[in-house]
Amino acid sequence: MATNGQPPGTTTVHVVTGNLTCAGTIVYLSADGSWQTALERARAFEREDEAKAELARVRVDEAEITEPYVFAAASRDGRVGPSSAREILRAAGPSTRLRRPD
Amino acid sequence: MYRYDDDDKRLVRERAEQFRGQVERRIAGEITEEEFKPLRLQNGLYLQLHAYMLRIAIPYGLFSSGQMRQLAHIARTWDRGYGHFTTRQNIQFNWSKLDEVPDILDALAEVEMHAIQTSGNCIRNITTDHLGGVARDELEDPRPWCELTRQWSTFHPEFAHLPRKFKIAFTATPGLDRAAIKLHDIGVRLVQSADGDPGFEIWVGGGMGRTPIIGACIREFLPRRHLLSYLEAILRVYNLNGRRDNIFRARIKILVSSLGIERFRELVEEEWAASREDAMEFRDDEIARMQSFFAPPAYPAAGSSDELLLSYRQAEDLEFARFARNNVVLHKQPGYSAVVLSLKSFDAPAGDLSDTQMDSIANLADRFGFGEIRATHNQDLVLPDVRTSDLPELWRELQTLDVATANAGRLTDLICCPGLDFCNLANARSLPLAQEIRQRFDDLDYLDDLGPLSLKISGCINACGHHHVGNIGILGIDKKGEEFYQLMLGGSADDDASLGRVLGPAFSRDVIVGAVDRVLQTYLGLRESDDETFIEAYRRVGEAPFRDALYGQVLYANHPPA
Repeated sequence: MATNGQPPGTTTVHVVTGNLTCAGTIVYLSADGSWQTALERARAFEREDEAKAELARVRVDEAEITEPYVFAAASRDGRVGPSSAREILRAAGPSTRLRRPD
Repeated sequence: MYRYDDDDKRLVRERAEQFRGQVERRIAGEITEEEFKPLRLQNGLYLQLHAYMLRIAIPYGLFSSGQMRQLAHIARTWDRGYGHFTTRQNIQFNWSKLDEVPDILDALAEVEMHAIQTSGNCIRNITTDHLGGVARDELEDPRPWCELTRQWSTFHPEFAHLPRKFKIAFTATPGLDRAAIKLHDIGVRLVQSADGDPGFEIWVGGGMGRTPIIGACIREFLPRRHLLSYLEAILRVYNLNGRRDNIFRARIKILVSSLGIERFRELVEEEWAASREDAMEFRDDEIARMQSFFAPPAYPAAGSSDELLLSYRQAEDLEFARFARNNVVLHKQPGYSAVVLSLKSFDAPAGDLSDTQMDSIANLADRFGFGEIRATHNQDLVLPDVRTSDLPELWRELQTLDVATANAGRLTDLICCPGLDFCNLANARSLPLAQEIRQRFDDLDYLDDLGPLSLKISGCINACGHHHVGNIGILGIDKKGEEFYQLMLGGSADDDASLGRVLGPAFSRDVIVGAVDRVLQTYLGLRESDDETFIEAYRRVGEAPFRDALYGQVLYANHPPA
């Protein structure tokens, strides 16, 4: 799961994420303020402090989101993708064979 | 096994109902996550990487066929059709939904199970030798003492908010330790005094995690009526003096090591002397009452089957013979054997069982035993009471369920935490690595040639995979967002407990399995005889030959260690 050596033109952006309180599902804050399950639809904050300001708001205002945080992601040609092993697995799901993937 | 009385049943039902209300208030936004988190943790509910994870207690690893069927029902109804057996002899479900957890707790309560105290800074599930009550080499069945300790520690108001989590393990076999008691906050060994009186040897301050420490013997002999008052004195000293300002320095092992065992012992003895008069003391009739729950089942009379088992181990069917050698254990009851079901097959995640496997194993526990199943801290299962003459038939059934791999105690019978695939704390994946190791070393002749060998994998420094005490230990680490793996050798969780040593820089994911292979080749090349085990050879020659084999050559020229 190599994550470094990003191709040319890749920039670092910041994404607000968390889990849905009821279902536990991983979600990402999108540009329209809704929560999306696909990382590609996440809002890419160019500045970390902007993302953290939004995170502070989410912590106070959005009870349906649990344990939100900000992570650094890779952006290339307008597409946001994970840049760490942890976020790759969060976005794609476990790499082990699941007994009955739902 | 212990059966709940009416008070037990009411307590567990009421706790489930209480949690239902807490969940409803959380989902309605009436309480914050900060307020809710300690409540859910007290009920075994974590928020992991992808979803909520519910950890269910299996006290000292003992459960019934009926309870296994209920676990299968839970897996099928509220999860993704499987469960994961852990190194604490518990089971975890990885895909729980918060609003459904109260229904799961109700279902557990129906079969005398719960998730209480499987998380949080309290006394966790009591563990013991998975062969308790059937092991031919044990002094006494440890399970009644585990159950007495479980009842004492459950909802104990003084110890509900300890500085950190607290783990207690029991063993009852002289000179052997199948419960890793020296790596626990408190380890208890059933012993006899020189006069033949039954009692306990108490160990304290062991543990793994980021600061691995082998425990120290705090009392060589404790009369058994005093068990709980003495444990209470230890817990009280820890509760008062353990650090609460630094989570990484809060375990009792840090307190014991900073004070020294002599000073810690003085404090405990002072506390015990002051409190034992008023403390709980076991009467013989109470001990006998608890022992009656664990009385041997009504075995039909049978003669010794040792010769029959020996013939199985030399059978013409080489697969069955290997299973009989590696996965079948001599039983104290003539005519019977204990059978290890391997949850480390070729391609299934280590420790996982599907709902259909659970149901089928429950049926086999009824058909080939007395409805009892054990979960081991090695993440396998045991059917403890199998008629030796039934072994060929049972083995065929286990094969169809993919739990008959004859690798118990061998390299591929490894311990493995959920790792970064599931765990919110992990730095690297461990399950796929374990799977690759099982697939790379799937030649059972080769595994038998290697002999007894423990391999343990953790995905982070918290050491849920016990990597410090693997003969070969692997620790996943994060280097700038990438997974790397440290290799350590020489650990043991047995009676001669030792901590493994890191040999050098970490390996990348693509070469770590090759590094394990190099270690194995080195061992085979230097052992003095086929009977010299890996740990014996390592202790004889030290780390140098292994380090040279790993780092002194050009094997990794294209993939240098980090």
